[in-house]
Amino acid sequence: MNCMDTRRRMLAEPNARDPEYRAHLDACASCRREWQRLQALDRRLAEALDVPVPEGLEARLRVARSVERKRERRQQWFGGLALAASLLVVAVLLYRPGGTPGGLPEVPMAHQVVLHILHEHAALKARRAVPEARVEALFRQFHLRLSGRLEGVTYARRCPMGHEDGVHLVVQGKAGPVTIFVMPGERVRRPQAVEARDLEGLIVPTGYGSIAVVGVASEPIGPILERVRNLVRPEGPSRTG
Amino acid sequence: MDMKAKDGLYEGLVSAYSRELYRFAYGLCGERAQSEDLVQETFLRAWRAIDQLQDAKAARAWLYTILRREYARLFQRQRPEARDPADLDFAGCRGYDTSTEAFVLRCALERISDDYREPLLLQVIGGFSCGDIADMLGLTPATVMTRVSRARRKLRELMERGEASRPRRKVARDNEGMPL
Repeated sequence: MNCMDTRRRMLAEPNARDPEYRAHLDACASCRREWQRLQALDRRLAEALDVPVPEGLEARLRVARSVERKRERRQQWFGGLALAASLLVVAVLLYRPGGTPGGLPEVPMAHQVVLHILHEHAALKARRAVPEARVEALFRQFHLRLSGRLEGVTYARRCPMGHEDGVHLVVQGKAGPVTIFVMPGERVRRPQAVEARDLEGLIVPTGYGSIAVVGVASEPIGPILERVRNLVRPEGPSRTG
Repeated sequence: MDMKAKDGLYEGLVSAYSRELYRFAYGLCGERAQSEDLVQETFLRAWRAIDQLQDAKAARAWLYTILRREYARLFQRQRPEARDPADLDFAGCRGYDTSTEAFVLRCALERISDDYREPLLLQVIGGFSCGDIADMLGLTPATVMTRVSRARRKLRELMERGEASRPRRKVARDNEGMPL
C-alpha cells in the first residue's frame, strides 16, 4: 500500500485494521502525522457533540413506555372484544335450527374459512409433527384416504365446517404455517380466493366436496394445494352429499 | 417475549444507548428540543417493535437506524423553507460547549449535507465500520467510504478556511449546499 492509498483509506476509515494499512502507518512518518491530525479532528468533533443529555431523559423514556403499554392493553382488550363480537355474529348467522337455513343469509365460504383460522389460531403455533397414522385415521372418518404421505403436518383435527364436519390440518410451509381444510360436505362451483389481512389462499372444488389452503401472503400455496388434491381420495364410492 | 423480558430489554437499551443516541440526534439536527423528541420517538418505536429484536447485539445499530428514519421523516415534515426563518440561522450552532472550537466545528458540521453528515456521525459517534454503515443506510461500502471521506475533507477545509461559523441556512437533503 502506497501513501496515496493509505491517505484515501485514512479519510474513509482512519481506524481500519487492514494489516497493510497499519503496516504503512507504522513505517511512514508523514502518513502517521496525517493520521494523527485526522484522529484529532474526529476527537474534537466527538467532543463538540458531547452535549449534556437533558436531565430526566431516561425517566421520561420510561414514562413514555408505561403510557404506551397502557394504550396497548386497552387496544388488546377492545380487539378481543371486537373479535368475540364478530364470532358471535357469525355463529348467529350459521345457526340453522333443525338444519334449515331459516332465511338467514349464507356466510361466504371464504369468510368462514378465515374466521375458522382466526378462531382456532392456536393451531398455527403447533410445531410437533402429528403421527401419520392419526392423520390417516382422521380422513377415514370421512370415508377418505391418503394415497401417499402428507409431510409436515403439525395439527390435525375434526372440526365443524359449514354444513358438516371436515378435516382441519396445519402443515409447515416455506413462509410459515399453512392451513388446510378438507371439507367433504361443502361444495363450491368454482375456485374462490381467500384474502384477509396477511392471509391468502384458495378454495377449490373436488369430487367429494372442497379443499381450502390458506397461508401467509408470501407462501407459495399452489404446490401444497396440488399435493393435497392428489393425495386425498374417496374410499370406495365418492360422497355426493 | 413476555412482558418482564420486554421491560428488562427496554430498560437495558435506555440505560446503554439513550445518551449516545441523543448526541447522534444532536449531530443530525443541531437542536436540543428536536434531539430529545427524536430520541423519545426512537425508543417508543423500539418498544412497539421490541419483539422483533432477535439478537440483542444488533440492538445498537437497530436503534440508530430507527433514529435516522425518524429524523428523515421529521426533516420531510419541516422543510427549511417551511420553517420560521428566525429558527434557521445558526440553528445548529447553539450548543452547550461554549468553546470557540466546538462552536466552529458544530457550525462546520451544519454546512455538510445530510447524505454526507450521517455516515460521518455514525462512524465518529457510533463507532460503526463502513461495512456496518453501508448495511444501515442501504448503500455499498464503497459509497459510504466516498461519502465519509468527502465529509471529513469538507469539514477540515471549512475549519482551515474559517468559513464554518459564517451564518448559513440549514442545507437541504438534496445536497444543494455542499459542492464536493
